[in-house]
Amino acid sequence: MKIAAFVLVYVVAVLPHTVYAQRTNQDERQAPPAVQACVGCHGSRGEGNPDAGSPRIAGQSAYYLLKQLNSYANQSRRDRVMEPIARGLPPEVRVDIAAHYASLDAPFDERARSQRPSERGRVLANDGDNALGVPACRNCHGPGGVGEPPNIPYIAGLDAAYHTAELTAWKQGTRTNDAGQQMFRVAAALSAEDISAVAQYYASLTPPKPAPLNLLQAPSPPKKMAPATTPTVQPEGHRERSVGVEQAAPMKGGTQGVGGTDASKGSLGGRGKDASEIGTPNSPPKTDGSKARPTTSRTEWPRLSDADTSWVSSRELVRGGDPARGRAIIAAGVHGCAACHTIPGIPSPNGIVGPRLDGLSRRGFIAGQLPNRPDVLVAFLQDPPALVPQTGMPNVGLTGEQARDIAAYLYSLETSSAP
Amino acid sequence: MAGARAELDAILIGVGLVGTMLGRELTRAGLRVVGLERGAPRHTVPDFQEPQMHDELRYATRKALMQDNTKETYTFRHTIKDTALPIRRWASFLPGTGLGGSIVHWNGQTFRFQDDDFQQHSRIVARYGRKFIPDDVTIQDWGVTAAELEPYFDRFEYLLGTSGKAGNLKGKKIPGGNVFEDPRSREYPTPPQKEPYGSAIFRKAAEGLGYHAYPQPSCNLSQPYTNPEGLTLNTCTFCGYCERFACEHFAKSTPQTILLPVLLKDPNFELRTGCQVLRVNLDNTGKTATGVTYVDASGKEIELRASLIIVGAYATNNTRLLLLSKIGAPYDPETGKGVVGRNYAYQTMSYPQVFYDESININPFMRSGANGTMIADFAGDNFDHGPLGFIGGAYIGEIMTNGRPIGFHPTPPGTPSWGAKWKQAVVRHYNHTSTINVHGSSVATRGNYLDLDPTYKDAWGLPLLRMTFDFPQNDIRMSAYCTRKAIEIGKQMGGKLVTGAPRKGPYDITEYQTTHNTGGTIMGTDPSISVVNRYLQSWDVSNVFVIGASNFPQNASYNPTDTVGALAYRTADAIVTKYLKSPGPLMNK
Repeated sequence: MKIAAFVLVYVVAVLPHTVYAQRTNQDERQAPPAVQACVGCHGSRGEGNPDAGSPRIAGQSAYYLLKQLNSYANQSRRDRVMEPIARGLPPEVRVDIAAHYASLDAPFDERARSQRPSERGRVLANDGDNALGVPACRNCHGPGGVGEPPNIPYIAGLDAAYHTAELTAWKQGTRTNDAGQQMFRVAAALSAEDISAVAQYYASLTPPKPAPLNLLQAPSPPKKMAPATTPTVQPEGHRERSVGVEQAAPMKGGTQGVGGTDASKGSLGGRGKDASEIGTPNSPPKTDGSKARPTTSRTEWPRLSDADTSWVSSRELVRGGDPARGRAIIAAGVHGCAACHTIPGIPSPNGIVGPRLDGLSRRGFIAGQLPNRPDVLVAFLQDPPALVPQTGMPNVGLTGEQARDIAAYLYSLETSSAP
Repeated sequence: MAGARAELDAILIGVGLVGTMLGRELTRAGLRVVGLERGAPRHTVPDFQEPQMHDELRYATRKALMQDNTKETYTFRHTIKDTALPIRRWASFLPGTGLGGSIVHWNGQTFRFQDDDFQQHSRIVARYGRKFIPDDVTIQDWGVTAAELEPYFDRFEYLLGTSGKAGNLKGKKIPGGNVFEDPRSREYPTPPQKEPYGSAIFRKAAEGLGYHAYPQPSCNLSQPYTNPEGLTLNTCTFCGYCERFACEHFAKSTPQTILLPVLLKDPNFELRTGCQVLRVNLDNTGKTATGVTYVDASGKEIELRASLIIVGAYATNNTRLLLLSKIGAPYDPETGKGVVGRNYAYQTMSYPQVFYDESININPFMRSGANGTMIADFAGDNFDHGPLGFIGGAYIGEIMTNGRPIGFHPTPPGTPSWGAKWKQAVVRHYNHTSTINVHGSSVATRGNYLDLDPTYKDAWGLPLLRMTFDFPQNDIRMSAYCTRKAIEIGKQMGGKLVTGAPRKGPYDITEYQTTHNTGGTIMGTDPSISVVNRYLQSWDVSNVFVIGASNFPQNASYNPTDTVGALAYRTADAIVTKYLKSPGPLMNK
């Protein structure tokens, strides 16, 4: 029975892809004749020709390429050259051409790579712009612009002039072939300089390999609904204990925190080791240099009213910390502190990734959000992501003792007069 | 400290939905306002962007956007006979924290409560008689009507840009919308989102049974929309990361996308984040608030004075803050006296599932948080309860918010909960299962309430809020009836198997149900059974206004946010047009 079911699944789900893959591989060797209409500009391998304003199309999904051909044909995407060509191709030939170029993996011409990727372009691509209401390009086009086939194209390695022209077309409303108007909204908010910056940035990146073959197919038409069979209804009172429920989406396993959803493991309201007393957060911080990760000490910080939080006495509070030893640990370079931070008393590289660390004791926060207190700093240094999950600062493997020494050194630094 | 500023007119406690709305209305009226937010500042860019925002482990499992319950949580018990214990890990409901509040991680399901809901007590008595209300049920009227709230609902929905289809325009019923709704003055600002395949199957089945199917109103927008504040939202991309997540696309209506950028530019407004308000301070008469005391992020305790206080924290935290500030008499379940903490209510959920054969592809990952087709035929008092013997109801719909990889693993009963067989079942059913949402009302009862815990304290040494709650018998009967109706629809949807059971007690705090915690600072016209008057002004301290789902005397079948927004706009209106001209009680006791 199990084997029969497996065979069925294989026949239904896997075999068509295999057949398709074989066909596609064959096509790679033997391009459909109509491709002759394309190679003049896009190249026999789909590498494109920047001088002719023709983009790279190798390895874009068949779904996407077919959609563009159809868009040229119905003028939801405008181009003097492409419109008549697309209109002249019978629908089934468009399908063949799209499948052909989707299967190709043209080498990326390094000469086409943008040499001057702008910082503004990088920010727009990866972060967006809050004031403009522009989300990051990579939300949809993927990290590094590799796309999300079948429906979202890669934009990495596209020629900057082509990319600029397309974003401008979205902005001006001459390209309208996205149903949700996402591209229109984004492009409309961008200035000509922003558009150019984004295009330059993506032109500096390497395009991806073709998507897996099973993603190359255009979506199949929906199948007819199966006839209703006799449903069986679970008797009332049935209750699966281990089902956690997202709103309208019951689910099993893992979702309700570490330890999963097995209700047999705990009683209502709390379970497991973490049932430490939240009402008594007064035990001292564990900064004894042991190997224990400092994550759980979060609940054990001294009550705020008990701690002297003024910066003046901060350095005294790093009990047992030796500023000279701390400086030596940083200067040794083993933990890479200066790669990201500029730290007085430590020779270059004077990193600019993280904040300058002079005058640290005068600041209100660590990592922009933790109270700047010695015990917190010591815990943070040992495992930054444990306390601030979003921080870019990695765990560099400091022991409790090393962290205390470094904290002592950092609190000894005065504000630098240098710019 | 505040010393640098000469005079402060108003303090917002919490800068979430309510805080942002009131901040905007009060600064526009010329007031100098400080917003105190306990969490971090955060914005769509850069804080909500991918790939980190789609980290399901971090946000859905570990609940990164929620109130930090290592510092501040609630204790819970089922009845006054039990000993409450702290909730160490959020599960049943998820109070948010941070700029923008809980609405940052909402699903965007946007309903107006009906007139029957606002006048539930008198309507039930008029239709079924006084004896129809069980002895322990303490439902009451809100002191407002749907007609009074209509302009505020309308204004709020046009701020949000809600995508939906009207079912009643100025009294004219419109098939395809919610024909049970009260008259609305105009159509929704944007058309409904696209109907997913599973919802289309539901529509066909429900309409075949004679019910009135309509698209769920959504704040994940169906098209770009520029609201009256000049802010533009984008079209939702159906990524399936709404609930528990923030939207990276500027496509979900939240303070960050609908209002905050305007408020933050206002020179009359100052935002202070990382500020935990400990209490509202009163003068020696106890009848006037002088300001608040808060702890800033460096641990300094600061007193800030102002002439008007807006309490707009998460619903349950509103109650706690009043109790900590000694504003209003705490509710006592033994005597029924006192008001603060009274009528805590929730939502009574159940989720039948329809398992199809492999020819039906549901694509659950291609959804938004409010993207489905539903019926309101069994919501509220839209059907005859006479022979049924319970109050309230549920809306029923094929509403699936996501198909995320860690969380969504539908398997039929009898499947092992781990191992190879479980994996096979997940692969088999993942793309071929519909979930039906039975979103039920929650009556208030004498024994369900909120107070301060006698034992457990928060990181600032203050008592935690104690929650005493279990499902009332009335709601269990309601759920049995409405779930049966949902299963009947499910049987018509063509699945091979329909599973599902109604909600039963005891209430399980370790299972997610909804984040619709209501009551505790309820509104009304009688100060002996309400905390705030019909303008959400404290009966006891007239320069304190308390706004949120904590004002609901009991919870209706629909999701609460639209009603919270309408109440907030109405209160802002009352403050600006009435209170500021003549500060003092807006209603006589």
